[in-house]
Amino acid sequence: MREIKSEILQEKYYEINHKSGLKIYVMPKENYSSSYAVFGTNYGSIDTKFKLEGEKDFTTVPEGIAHFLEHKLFESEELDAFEQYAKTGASANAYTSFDKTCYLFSCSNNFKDNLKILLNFVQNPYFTAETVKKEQGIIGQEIAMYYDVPGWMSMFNLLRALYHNHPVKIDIAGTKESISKITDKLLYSCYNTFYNLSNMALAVVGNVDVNEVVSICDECLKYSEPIKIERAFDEEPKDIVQPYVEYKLDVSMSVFSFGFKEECKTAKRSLRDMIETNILLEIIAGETSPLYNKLLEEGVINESFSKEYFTGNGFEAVLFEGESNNPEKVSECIKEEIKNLRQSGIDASRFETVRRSLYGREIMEYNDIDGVANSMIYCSFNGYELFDSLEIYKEITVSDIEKRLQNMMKEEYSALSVVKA
Amino acid sequence: MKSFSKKELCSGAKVVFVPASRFKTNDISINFTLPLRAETASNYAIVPFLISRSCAKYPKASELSNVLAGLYGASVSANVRKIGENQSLTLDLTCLDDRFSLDGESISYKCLELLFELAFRPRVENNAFFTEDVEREKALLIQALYGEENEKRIYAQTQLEKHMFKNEPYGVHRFGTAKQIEAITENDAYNAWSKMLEKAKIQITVVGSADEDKVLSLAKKELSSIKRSYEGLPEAAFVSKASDVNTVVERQKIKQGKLVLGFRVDIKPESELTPAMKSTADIFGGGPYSKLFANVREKMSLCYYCSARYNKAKSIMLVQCGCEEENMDKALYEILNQLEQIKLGNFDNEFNSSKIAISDMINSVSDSPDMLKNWYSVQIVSSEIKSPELSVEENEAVTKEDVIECAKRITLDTVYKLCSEKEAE
Repeated sequence: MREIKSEILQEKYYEINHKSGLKIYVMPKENYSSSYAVFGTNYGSIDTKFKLEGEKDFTTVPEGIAHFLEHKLFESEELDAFEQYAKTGASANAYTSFDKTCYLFSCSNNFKDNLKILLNFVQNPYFTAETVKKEQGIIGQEIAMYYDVPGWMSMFNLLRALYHNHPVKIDIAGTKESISKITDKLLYSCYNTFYNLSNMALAVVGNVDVNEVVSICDECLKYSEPIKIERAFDEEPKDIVQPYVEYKLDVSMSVFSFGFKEECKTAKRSLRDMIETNILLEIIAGETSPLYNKLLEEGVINESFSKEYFTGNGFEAVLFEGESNNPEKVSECIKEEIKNLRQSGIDASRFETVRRSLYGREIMEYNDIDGVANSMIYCSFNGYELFDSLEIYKEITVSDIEKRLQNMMKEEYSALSVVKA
Repeated sequence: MKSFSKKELCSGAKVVFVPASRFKTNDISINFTLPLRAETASNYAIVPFLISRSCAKYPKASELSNVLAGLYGASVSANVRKIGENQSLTLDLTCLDDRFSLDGESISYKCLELLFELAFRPRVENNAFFTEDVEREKALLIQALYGEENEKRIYAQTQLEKHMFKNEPYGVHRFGTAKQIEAITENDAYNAWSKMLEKAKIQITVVGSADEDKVLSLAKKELSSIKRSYEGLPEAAFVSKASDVNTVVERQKIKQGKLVLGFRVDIKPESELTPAMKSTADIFGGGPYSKLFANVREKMSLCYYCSARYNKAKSIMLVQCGCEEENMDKALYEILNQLEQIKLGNFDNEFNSSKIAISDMINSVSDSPDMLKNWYSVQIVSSEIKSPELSVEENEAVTKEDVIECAKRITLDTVYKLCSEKEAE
């Protein structure tokens, strides 16, 4: 067991390499009445082609299967997980993203029982042909619902305009067609690969005691022989598919996603890459930036405007999204601003203001036990140390950011996606 | 430690302190609440947005956001809410607690001063806001209104409210209408702002470890400079029972239909039955243990979501359901059947689950500054303020008979269906 402290935050957490093969993170929070636990696997919607080390061939599975598996895991031969939580009063949920699947609960009572439920149901799959068929109906509805959500359609259309082959372009839930190919056998195959404890992590934050967490884990976790998973993606060209894409929906105002595809030289980005890019994006288009204020003053964007460094295994992009009555103008202004900043350089005092602001926001994140627990899982899967970011904020200089600006967000790799009536 | 304390400032104005040193932040809000009326809704709605973006001291939005960024990423946001038939205008501020400041400055006090600058000394001239500010906020407010329409779930609910409450103030959107927003003049906005200071019920809510005395003396000083004529807030129009069921169908180019049901609830906001009614709605369509989730969604696979929500301040309950048109009648039948089951007392399992879930949920409010702030600030319309602890006790005391009694007081008023256009198939 390792104890990791932060003087700045006045917080500490424990990292445990459990004998079962699972990595466990526990952050007790003084004077909190509730606790939050998240049990995650390093497996998401993009992992559709994989094999175990030593196996000859890659297995290819239908799109949307990670999300489907998430739904199915709540069921068991006897009481399903929701029915069990209903007796203890936890508020439970799960989510699947591009690169991870997480099961979580929060509660202010019966923490031990809830943690046992979580650990047990995630370790005990129960899939049958019949239950798979029923779920196809429910998930089909869920997929249909997203076709009417303009922001969702706008983003995935952009990803399809940027990416030729990478599965990040596919809806996390798959399509009605792809999920119709899912069988109980395929679910077990994915489960047995990705739900190996050596590919997972548990994070617990709040009104908890570390020894209590470990002793429940001792009791509930079944040893997993560590495995090494190889994931494969079809070769992704550097160029984009198309610079503009449009989708019609009954919206009263257009929604846009504008993005730059970045060259992904390594599978993963470092924590420093993440922080530097976030500072850069804040300088270009944050609330204090001349660009944001100009577009807002002119009424071309509104407060829904956002920016994101969007990256994961084999994909890297910068996204700007929001509502606008003139998305083309927004994208032109963003390109123009990047060009200008490249020429003029970044003003040192602007850099300082942005750095101080993001530093403060980073500390504020530690208010929320759910946010912290999910960050712990994210850091674990990416090989980061949770508290390192505050130190990195202190080290970064304006020239680091300028260097990054020279190498990112090239106009020829940008695309605009619009959802309009 | 007491969960909260309150101090009166002047007639209809108070500060609520929620001490919490466990947070990294101080969360402060100023809430102005006025009766929601069709003719004034838009004029009032624009005010918090106008005053959150600039002030006399920082006339440009970019200046203000730079000041906030320099205060370790402090943030100010404006909100307009409908609480019963009142319109609640809020400035919310979140800032880093003083102990994390790198140079020992008091972040929270500076932020509090800033918040008062915004609320009490906006950027105005000759009894009018500036044209460019008003025009910008009008455009943004109209966009926000349209943005909501893009979210079909919200749109469907708004449409139901429009039809069900066409003769009651509750049918008024919290932003009013696009047409009324369009018509706001620089003077209108100024008059709405000064009326707000004069007539609104005011509550300042402070969650964190900010110095209470300093907050209080600053708040008193600011409020003493304005002329107040507070007249109290009116009660919401109370309709105890629906007479006939009114059905509305609308078609749009969408893939998935939405079904919204509006029910009248024969329980007034101050009634002792409200905690039981909260349980009733939860048993009916709250968590995954609820009747609607277990039957309409899980057992019958009729929809992706199906949930019920009780609105205490307006004595209503809404059910929302995402479902295909061909399943809507089946879903409607089953939803009403599940309500009958509650009236018959068939809910033992759901009752136990709901009871622990509600208590659990209320207990976790105290771990989030944002939830705590909202918990207290929506109570601006109530005569007494309840802590989360007290609400847990009330929930624990709810009996099965209370729930049956509440279920019997629920009647269906309006059915709204949003369906896809036939030719879009």
